[in-house]
Amino acid sequence: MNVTPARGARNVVCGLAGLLLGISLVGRLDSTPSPLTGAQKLRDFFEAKDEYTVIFAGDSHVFRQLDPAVFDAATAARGRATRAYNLGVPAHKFFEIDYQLRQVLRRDPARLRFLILDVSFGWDFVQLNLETERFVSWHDFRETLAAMWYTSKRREPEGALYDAFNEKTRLNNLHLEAFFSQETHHGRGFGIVRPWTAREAHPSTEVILPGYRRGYLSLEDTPDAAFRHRDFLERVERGETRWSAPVRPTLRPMPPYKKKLLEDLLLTLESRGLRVMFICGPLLSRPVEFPTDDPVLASPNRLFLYNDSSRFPNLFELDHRFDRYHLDQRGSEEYTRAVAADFLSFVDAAGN
Amino acid sequence: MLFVELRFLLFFVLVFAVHWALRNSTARKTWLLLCSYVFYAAWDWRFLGLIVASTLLDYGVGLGLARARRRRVRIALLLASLSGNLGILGFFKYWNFFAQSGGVLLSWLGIPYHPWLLSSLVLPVGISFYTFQTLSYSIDVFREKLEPTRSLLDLALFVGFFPQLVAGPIVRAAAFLPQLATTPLFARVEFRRWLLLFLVGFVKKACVSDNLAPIADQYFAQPGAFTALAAWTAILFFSIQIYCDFSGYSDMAIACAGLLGYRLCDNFDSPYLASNITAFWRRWHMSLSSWLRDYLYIPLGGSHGSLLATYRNIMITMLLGGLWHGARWNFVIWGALHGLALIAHKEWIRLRPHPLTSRSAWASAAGTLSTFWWVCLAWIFFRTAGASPAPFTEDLQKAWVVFKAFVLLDAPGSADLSGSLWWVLPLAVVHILAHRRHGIHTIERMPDWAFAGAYGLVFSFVLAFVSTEYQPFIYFQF
Repeated sequence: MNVTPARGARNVVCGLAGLLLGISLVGRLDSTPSPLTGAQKLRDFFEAKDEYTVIFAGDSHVFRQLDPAVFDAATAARGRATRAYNLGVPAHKFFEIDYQLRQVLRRDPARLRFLILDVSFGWDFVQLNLETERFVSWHDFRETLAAMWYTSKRREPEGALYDAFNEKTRLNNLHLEAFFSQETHHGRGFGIVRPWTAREAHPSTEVILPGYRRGYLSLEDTPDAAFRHRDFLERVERGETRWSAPVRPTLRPMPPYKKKLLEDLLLTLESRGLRVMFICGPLLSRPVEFPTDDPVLASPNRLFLYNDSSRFPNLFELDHRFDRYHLDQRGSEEYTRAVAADFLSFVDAAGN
Repeated sequence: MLFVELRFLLFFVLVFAVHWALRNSTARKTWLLLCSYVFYAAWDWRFLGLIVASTLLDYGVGLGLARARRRRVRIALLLASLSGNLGILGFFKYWNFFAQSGGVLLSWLGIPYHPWLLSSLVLPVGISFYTFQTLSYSIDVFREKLEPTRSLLDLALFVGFFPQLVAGPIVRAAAFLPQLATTPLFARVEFRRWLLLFLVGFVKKACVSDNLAPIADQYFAQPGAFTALAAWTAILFFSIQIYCDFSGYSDMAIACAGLLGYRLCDNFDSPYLASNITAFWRRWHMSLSSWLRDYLYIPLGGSHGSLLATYRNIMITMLLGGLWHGARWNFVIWGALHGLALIAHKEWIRLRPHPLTSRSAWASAAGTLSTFWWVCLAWIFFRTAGASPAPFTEDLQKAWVVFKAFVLLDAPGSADLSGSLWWVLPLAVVHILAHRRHGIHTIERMPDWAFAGAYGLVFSFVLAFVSTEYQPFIYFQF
């Protein structure tokens, strides 16, 4: 075949056009539930961005446990109507939450005044993240570029323990690795026979399903809920899951560079008129990092801890839990009402 | 860097663009060599030195053989190449095997030994492939079937050419070095052919093999928990998996080389459609089987001696062929089963009273099915070969459980896998249609812009079926 440059270029363009056409067709034909991504959450939020007055941010401890409808009902019952949206995404790390919140601010939601941030999120991407469908799905071409651009542009925090260059390089490498580990816009490539084995192989696969409302989806509404919950109960029965010990609210000091990153985000949020309330969900054990030495941030009017079995005994009962890490629907409703009550006291404190 | 990863595609686009942009033949070869070493270093840079050492050794041996006239000197040079290359291969590949077997023997005899004897070595990826390539060069030069090359660059590129570096096909120097002596022309590249072949290989590996692997793995992780039907399902799936995995890699390797203007030898020719075991071995991993035939079986005497000597030669060749795959007794058994089948087939041809001139379709189908069944049976031992540190008795115990389930339908478990068994049917139909080259004329008649558009469209559909969990190519470990 004698290929002239013009002919070659035409063929490449035709090939790419076919590829793009096919990808968009696959996207339309594909009936498999989409994996949940930060981008999906943002898209849903932006559809009615000017209606919301409160957003929740964090990882699955937010996504699975804070029901905006219950929250709004609880605040309305006390005569302080709100309109909440849940921006939580399972396994979201600080970097992703930071990115997500800055994207929210860029669109300038008209009525948004409050952010409830669960601080029990993780800070570091680990190798395990690369294997999760969520992480891969987050990295389509556009989002990977945006994330890398953002990583490169962000202000470098000061701190003896923080090596900004290495951290940026590491983050960008992780994004690239996640991007290169997937092939389609969807970032998953559903296997021919893989759905058959998917539940065994990926018990933590997160998908958007009917019932996903204002960003919230109970774990009980997920496809393998019965299997996972039964597995949890069996583990408790066999004594493999530590269960009966009392849970005390535990926080540990945050290294300076993390504190600086958090403060940087808060400064940006507050400069745009957003008031930030911190919560720590009903975790069983993991101590959560927080700037405990900062009297303003760690003030009891601003930081609310729910990892306390003496104050919230129900949240640590088996009939309120879905698994070791999350509440079930019943627990979530109770927890959301507790957060709503604390939210109102936060609003009242210091004229919020 | 796997062929099915996006980063390989980006890597290849860069290699391709620069390769064809360069006008000078030496510059092109240098570029390809550099890229080949980068490709290998992406796996493990520490073992690059072994490839370089092997190349230098055979380059020196080749030059020495060109000058040497005395037979004793020539033999000494050949032995240097054989001992150097096989020494490296043997050390890295078979240390664990012999040390472990020796440890078991010493324990049995009650003789104490130092624990370092059982320490494991990391196997350099692709070592079996490039070692056989360099050996073919030295042996062919020794036999005066090939002129030794005076270009170190050519020899280095022959050994390290990235499409075939880590999993073949095992290219002969006589087939590849002459290609390096000429400058490939862009206008002569059969883009349509190679792009199609790449797509076929991609589908085999990423869509078929990687999607069947989890099911087969599930069974082989705990065969005692499954039913006999599950054993059949898993063994069938593994048979398809390993074929699609290895032939898919070969297809992509041949296609990549073709797009760069070089021809690699074919490696597979629908082997599961072979109607007897001899035909199977002419169609399965052809570059290895022909290598073993030319450099082992025929030097042993081939079929020119007595019947017993022929069968001995077949058995030695197949046992060593098994051992080539890995230092595990299970591979030896796999080779032995194929050796036995080859001998049985020879006996069948020799003893049958009325040789058939034209075989009926039924006889052919029966031959194909029985050959496939035997190949599946042998795969049991291949698949149950565990990681090196595991004792080989564990491999054999596991193989026995699977063997009983597959042959005697004696399986203790109740877990089932047969729900996905029906996938075998469409895969078999597609395989037969592809073997008969259905639709190829339509593709050949398409205008190139339509081909490009259709290629992009089909590729996007293919991508949708790619498993998110990449499985390493099975043959990388050999």
